[in-house]
Parts: sequence; C-alpha cells; structure tokens
Amino acid sequence: MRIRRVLIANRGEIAVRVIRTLRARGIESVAVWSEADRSALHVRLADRAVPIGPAPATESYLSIPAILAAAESAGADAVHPGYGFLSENAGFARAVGDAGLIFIGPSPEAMEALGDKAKARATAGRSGVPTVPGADAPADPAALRAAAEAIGFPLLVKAAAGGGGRGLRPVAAAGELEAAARAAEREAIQAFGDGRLILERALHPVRHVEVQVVGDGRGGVTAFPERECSLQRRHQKLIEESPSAAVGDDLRRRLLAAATTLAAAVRYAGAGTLEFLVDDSGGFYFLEMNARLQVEHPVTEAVTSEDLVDWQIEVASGAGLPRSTDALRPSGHAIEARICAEDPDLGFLPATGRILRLRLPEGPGIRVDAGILGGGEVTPHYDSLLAKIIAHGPDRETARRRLAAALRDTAVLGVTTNTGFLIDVLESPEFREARTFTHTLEGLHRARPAADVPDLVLAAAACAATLRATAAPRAGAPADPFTALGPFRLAEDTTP
Amino acid sequence: MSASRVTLRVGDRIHTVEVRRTDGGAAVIIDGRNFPVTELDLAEGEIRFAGSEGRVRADVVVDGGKVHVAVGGRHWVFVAGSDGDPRSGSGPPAEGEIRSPMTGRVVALLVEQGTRVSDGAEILVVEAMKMEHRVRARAPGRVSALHVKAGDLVELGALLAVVAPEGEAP
Repeated sequence: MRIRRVLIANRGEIAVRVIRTLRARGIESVAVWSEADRSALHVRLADRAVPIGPAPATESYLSIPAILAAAESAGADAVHPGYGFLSENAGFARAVGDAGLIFIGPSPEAMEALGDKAKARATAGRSGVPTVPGADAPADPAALRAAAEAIGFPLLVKAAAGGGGRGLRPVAAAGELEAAARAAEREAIQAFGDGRLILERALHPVRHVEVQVVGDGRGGVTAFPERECSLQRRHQKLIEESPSAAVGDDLRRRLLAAATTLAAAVRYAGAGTLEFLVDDSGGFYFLEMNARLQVEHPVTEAVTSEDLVDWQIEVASGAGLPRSTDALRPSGHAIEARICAEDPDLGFLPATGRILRLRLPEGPGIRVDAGILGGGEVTPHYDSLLAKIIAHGPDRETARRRLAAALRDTAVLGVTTNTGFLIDVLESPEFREARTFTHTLEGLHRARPAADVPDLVLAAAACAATLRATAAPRAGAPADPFTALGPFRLAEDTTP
Repeated sequence: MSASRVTLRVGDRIHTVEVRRTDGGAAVIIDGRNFPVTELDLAEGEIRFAGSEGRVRADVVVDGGKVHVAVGGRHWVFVAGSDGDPRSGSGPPAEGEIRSPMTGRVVALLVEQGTRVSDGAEILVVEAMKMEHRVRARAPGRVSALHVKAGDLVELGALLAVVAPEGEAP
C-alpha cells in the first residue's frame, strides 16, 4: 500500500530527520506539537502541523487519543513514532492499526515479545543465542539467595519490564542482595507498574555493541555492521561509532548471525536493534532488543550509505527489504556525538533557556541532525538531546579528527551543553586507542580538571561588552529553517 | 580613546579587564596582564581577532548583563559589571536557603515544615528533561519554610525551602 501522508508522533531532532526522508520520497509530513513546541523546528519544516495539547508529554506526545485525533484531522495514512515517547508502546501500535492507519514500526505482538526482558531472554535461549548468565528473581528470600549464588557475584538486579537504568541495582556480595532487590522492586513498580525482577551476572570490563536489523515481517532480516555504544553514563549513550574497533570479522559474522536469528524468530517487521555485551575475550551476550529506530542510527547510515527511515517506509508499505545483508557495501568509519543540554560541571544537571546564538558545523563527512533553532527555547519538559553531529571518514582516526573539529566549530549560546566534554572524550587516550568500555565515560568525567578561563576568552568577552553590544536575536526571529538544517549527507565522498 | 573597564564574573572568580581601541585592534589588560589584540573584527554575534595565541573566532552574545562566549566548542557565561544577577551562581546562597539547581518541576517533597534534617539530607525532588534531581540540605537544622509543593514549576535559583540551624528562632 502506498503511503502518501505520514504523521510523526514525535518532536525534536528525530522528527526533523524523519521529515527529510519523507520529503526526499515525495511523501507529505504532518508534525504534531505541544504548547511548548509551537515554533519548534520540526513544526516549521513539516508540510502540516497539528497541535496536540499542553507542554507535559503525558498530555501531548504521550497521549494516544490526541495523536490519533491529529492523524485523523490531518488525513494521514501512516504514523512514524520516532524513538522514545510512544514508539515502543504496543497499545499505541495496536490503536494506530485499529484506526486503519499504517504503523511504521514492528507489530504490537513483536513489541510485547521483545519489550519484556524476561521474555526476550527466553526467546534468545530457544534460538541458541547466548544471554548474560542469569535467571528470573524468585520472590522468596531463600530462593532468591540460592538463584544468586548459582549465578555468582557481582551481579545485577534488574526490572523485567525495565529500561534506561531504572529498577537496576548492582550487587557486589550476598549481603547486599535483599536490600538491592527490594529497592529495585520499588523502583520497578513506580516506573513500570511491574515489580518482576531478573538477576544477571555483572560483566566487567565490558563493551556495549549492538546490531541494527530491518525485518520484513515474514522472517526475512537484513543485519547491518555493528555499532559500539560503550560510552554511556547512567545508560544514556553519549558517543557511538560503527564499526567497533573491538569487533573483528569473525566476531562480526557471529554477532550479525545471532541478531538475524533472533529477529527472524519473532518475524520482526521494520527497524530494530539488538543490544549485546561483548567481553574482553570476544564472548558476547544478548541483552535486549529495542523495537524502534535508535538515536544513533546515523552512524550505520553513514557507513552503509543507506537511509534507514526509507527502509522503514519500504517495509511498512509492504515493498519488502531493499537489500540483503550480503548486498550491503559498508565503507569507512563513522562516529556520532550527542549534544545535550546538560552541564558536565554540575554532574550533568539539565540546562534550560533560550538559544541566543546557534552555529552548527559543516564540512566533508559531517552530518548534523538537529532539532533546534537560534532563538528557540529549550524547556524542561522533554529530553535533553539538542543535536547529533556525525562524522564519517575512510578510517576511525579520520572520523575522530573530523568529529572533534566539527564540535570545536559548534556554538550553542544561552543554554549550557556538554559540547566541551564531548571534545575531551574524543581527545582522550582511551578514545584514541579505542579502549572504551561501559565504565570508561564516568572515569573520564571524574578525571576532568577544573580549567581556568583562557585569556583569549576573557578578551573576547570584554571586547563584546565594551566595544559593541552584540544583541541577542528576538525569540522567534525569522530564520530560514532550511538553512538551519545544515548539510545532510547519506552517501558521501570518503576521500580524505 | 579612553579605556573601558569591565568586570567579568564567572562562578566565584572576578576578572577585571580593560579595553582600549587601537588602530585596527585593541589594547586589552586582563587582571593586570597585557593581552594585545590585532585585526579586531566585530560582527553580529561574532568576534574575530588575532592575539598572542594566534587567530581566534569567538561567538559572543551580550544579553541582560551576561556575556555568553563560545570558543572552540566550549562556552562560558560571565556576569558583566558589578550588578550581577543573584541567580547566576555568583556565590553560595544565604545560610539555610535551598534553591533550585535547575528549571523544572517539583515531583516530591521529602520533608515537612519542622522536620529535623542532617547535613546532606534529601529535601525534595526536582525533575527536568526526564531526569530527577534530589535537592539536599547543606547543613543540619530544622526545615523552617517550604516554599513549593509537588507539581510546582520552578525556575533555576528559585527559593525552595529554608533549613534553619538548630537553636535559632525560625
């Protein structure tokens, strides 16, 4: 079935990114907006825009009735959920289908089978895909103790329905087990309304490696070269790359085969990502599957010259998979950095405010996926991701240098961002030498020296303050959103 | 041409800078140190100059007494002059005052008026951008005032509560 008009049930950079592909395909885009996003970039760029309620996400971007009403009023024939918000809500996917619209994502059944960690582990076990040694956590304290002893310490107590680090507690020794389980259960009930827990052996040091797949819903699956996303803080990824410097050809073949087997087992439709932990000896363990487009999908697009949103639309229209795994032609290396409104000097406290000036980088191999505009407001209502900078090059070092240079050429004034810390990470010996594990980022943050203000910065500030008042743009000042987009490349020249 | 003097406050540090326009550039004195600037070029939101460390391009916005500067991907916010904004982190808040570390929503109060708290005790929870932040007491005492309730939207620096040291009248 041909898709003609797509409602994007999201905001920010991902809504902007989906609009780009819709425009490239000649499909009309419908943005939705809360009162906090009236003049946001995604609203300005879309062909149509429909208000869906007040600023709090529960009353707008998370409101299934509001979004379905918007889809109906705009005459959309399909819904793209983006990531976050309702993207992995099986009830939403079902409601979209029941309204006679195409949901550009996996079936509600696949989401239900994969969204629950315990069920996903069982599916992996049946398919012969290794999982982190672990078990369902029994409620009885004696049985819990016995199950934990069988796995061995240190271990993790995790919410079965969980994600994003909520309902997760590390347990170093048996004595901490009961208290940790009680705390995790409380948090899990609060966050997910489901107190079931699982136990998992804690692996250390370990890398987070994931495999992007697109399934056709009939058991056909294309698996893309892996992404490494070990640089994360409290389970929020900050820098991602593809391929992983720690994955050789043999391990890659086995990872992609495992991902393909699992996705095929649930007859997965659309784009999804299987997350694995990879230990020092090349052992890998399936963690969970994310049934949506990932924030970090552009690194995969950069190395394969494929457009994953385009693939999603192909599959949702029933056209099948554009290419098989073997037909992909990956080339070079790509790294993404997430610019977030967070203050690394204040423990990554969220930062809000008006963007007084915005300069985004461009150049060979640089792609910018941004959801912000100069003069725009960054509010406390939604997540802190402002923009992603992606650098591609013929090799990892070229991509690293291009990304660091691009970040140095980025200016967001008025709202504190983590850009300086991203540069520190890219320039660290750990990153240069690809010694990146899931604990690395916290260590780099702790080791940050408190720097004095350079004289040249004081000179610039003083010249600006005394010689000429460089006025801030007014809120909503006319800015051409198309030029604000920056360059967007999927296939690029990789000559250095 | 006479020199202009400006104080630039960042955190608890105050820098005094003198600027005098010269032919094509500026004579800049930072905390008594000479910082010669040549080829000074002022544009909307941007300054380019050549200094002792080579050519520099800075994004600069002066807004409401604050000077925002970005150079090389890093950024700084200065309070210019001496009439600083009390919310700009100019110094520690008055004794016992608990102020919001960020703009967000109060999701939970963990104490009541009159509750005795120890140093570091959690007072309330503020949420922004899906991240919860526990605001703590900075000294032991008794909660003498609570200025917010769960659900309130608060600005950065807003007064949330007061913890009076023990033995003092409320």
